[in-house]
Amino acid sequence: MIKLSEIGKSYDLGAVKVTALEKVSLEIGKGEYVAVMGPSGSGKSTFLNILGILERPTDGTYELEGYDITRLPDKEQARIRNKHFGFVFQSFNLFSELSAMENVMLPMGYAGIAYNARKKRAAELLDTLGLADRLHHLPTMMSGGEQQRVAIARALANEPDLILADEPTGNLPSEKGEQILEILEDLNRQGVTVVMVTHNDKQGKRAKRAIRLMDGKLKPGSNGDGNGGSA
Amino acid sequence: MKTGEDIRMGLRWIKGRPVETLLLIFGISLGIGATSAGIALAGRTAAEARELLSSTQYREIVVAARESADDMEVPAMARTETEMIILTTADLAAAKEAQDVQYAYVANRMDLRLGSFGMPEGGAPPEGMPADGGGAGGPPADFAPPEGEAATEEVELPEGPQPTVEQIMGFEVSPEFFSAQEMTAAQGSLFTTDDMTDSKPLLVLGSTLAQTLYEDGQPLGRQVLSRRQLYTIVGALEPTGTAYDAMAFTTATMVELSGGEARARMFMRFDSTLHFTVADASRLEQARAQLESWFEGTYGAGSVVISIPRYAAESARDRNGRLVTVILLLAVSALLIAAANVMNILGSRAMRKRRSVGILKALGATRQGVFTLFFLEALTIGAFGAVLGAGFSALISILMKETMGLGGISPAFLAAGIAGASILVTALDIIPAMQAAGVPAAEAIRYE
Repeated sequence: MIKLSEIGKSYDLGAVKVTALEKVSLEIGKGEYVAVMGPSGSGKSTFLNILGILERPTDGTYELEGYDITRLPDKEQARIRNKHFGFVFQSFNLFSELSAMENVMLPMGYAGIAYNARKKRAAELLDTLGLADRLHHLPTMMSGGEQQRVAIARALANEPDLILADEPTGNLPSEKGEQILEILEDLNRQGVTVVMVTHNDKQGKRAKRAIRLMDGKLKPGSNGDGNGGSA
Repeated sequence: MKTGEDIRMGLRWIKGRPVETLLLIFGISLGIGATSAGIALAGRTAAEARELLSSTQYREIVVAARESADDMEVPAMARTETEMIILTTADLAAAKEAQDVQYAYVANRMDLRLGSFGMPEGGAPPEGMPADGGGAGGPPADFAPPEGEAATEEVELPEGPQPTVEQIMGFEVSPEFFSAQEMTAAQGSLFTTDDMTDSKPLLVLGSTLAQTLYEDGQPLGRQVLSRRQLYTIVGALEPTGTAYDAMAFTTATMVELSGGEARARMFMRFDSTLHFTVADASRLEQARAQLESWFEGTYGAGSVVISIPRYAAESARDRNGRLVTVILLLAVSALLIAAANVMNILGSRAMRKRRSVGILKALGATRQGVFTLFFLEALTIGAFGAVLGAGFSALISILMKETMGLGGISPAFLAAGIAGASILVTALDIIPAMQAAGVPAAEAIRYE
């Protein structure tokens, strides 16, 4: 599904050049559950942003389903993000002006789905995630766990192939975090590929595979198949 | 997302910051209001100047005797009749030598006291004092009656209804005055050259005066007493929309002599201001040269003052134009400041929303989509500002009318001002929207 070849990302900060990622090569198959681990500043978020084509790599190629999507125009990249990827962020990133349902409807709007169909699907998704009684609530009126479930519903709105989760439990108490992980695992069991950034070893071990980054490089031996804990 | 949803999203953002939004709308509306009022004022001033300069009054050359022109400087009693150059209706003959002159006429200001008002008891006024109080700038009154008339003859008030006013103002004119001013009779008739030689004084009334002079509004054929003469009302004019509507016009006295003979024989009462009208204002200078040549040949160099009122009007127009330009520049500056302020605030607003931009891009928004969203938000604020600005414009134009008498502000100019100012504000709104659209998604999501 995904093939990264010698991906590198560096930032020019005036006289200083900061390398965030260096020659990262990796393949992620359909239906995988991958944990991306590493200490702060190791390049995890940059890696996830490149994976979600929110950021262009400075080196290397990124193939999705056999197509090099590294240099696609903005409009095409936006279409891929909208149709194929679902993002879940640590701080939920819901629009505070919009209700739970409107937040979930938003990506479907960019996909060109009719208003009533969007509304129906958003209600179904929120119902599935146990938020049937929160459809018209603003994010500020919901708990952190509820907000993250709304964010997951939003990520699932266009039935993506890949969920990219950046520390999805980072801002939640452990009990709520557990709920979120269970939802992601359940989605993976349904065939959705999940790539989750975490620096929690326990969470990493629950993934089918874990890759470790250190100083922008893939840690040797962390790219193999198998249980994340064995990585 | 559809445009409607973008607008709805924009409105939610607007609602989230009501005070900032209200200040933006107020700033825009003041700028738009001031600019559109300024443009309307400039337009009105230009149109008024064009209209004014196209009137016959500003296609005229005015000729007056040097002494008459300077008489404000010299006490009346110090002047002697023999020293004065007297211009009379006979001098209208100068027009025959000036090919560019279309009409030539006499127009002397007059002021008629009606009935027995203003008449001292016991007959004629003291020598040198006008019997009717005189008119500012006009010829002396007829205390010296025409030769052959009995000075002491009493004239009785005509029978029937009397005028509703004590005094009417106007001009003693020769017949071409009406042609030159494009005046036509609504009732009765105007003067002819024959009427000028006839000893019976006639009156033609302006449209307003014709309606108000008598309570029954029927002035034609009636007589009014003034200067111990009975003036017969022979006509009423069509409305002109000028001060002439409230005036009356009587026949100027026809004098057959001119030049040296006139100098020797005429009385001050015949002294006239001569008006020569050209068909095309661009021929004024040529006509002036032709007239100057004639008057110098007749009276000698420097004996008459030839003036062209158009030049003073053009000078006033240019001065007003410069003043209006300054006002307009100030108004546009106000708009630019308001628009720049809006641009800055919207720009900082867009930067504050960087995170939202990142999320929108992650959810599938294109750069164009983000631009549209921010631009529509700015446009919505601009639209509210334009509506309020239109209100300000109307208010400013009403204030200009009430306080400065600047009526007749064209709604078309106001609309053009509002449209132009709105376009400027809209154009400047593009910049913050572009800034927002250009924010890199990953960087925006990281923004706290």
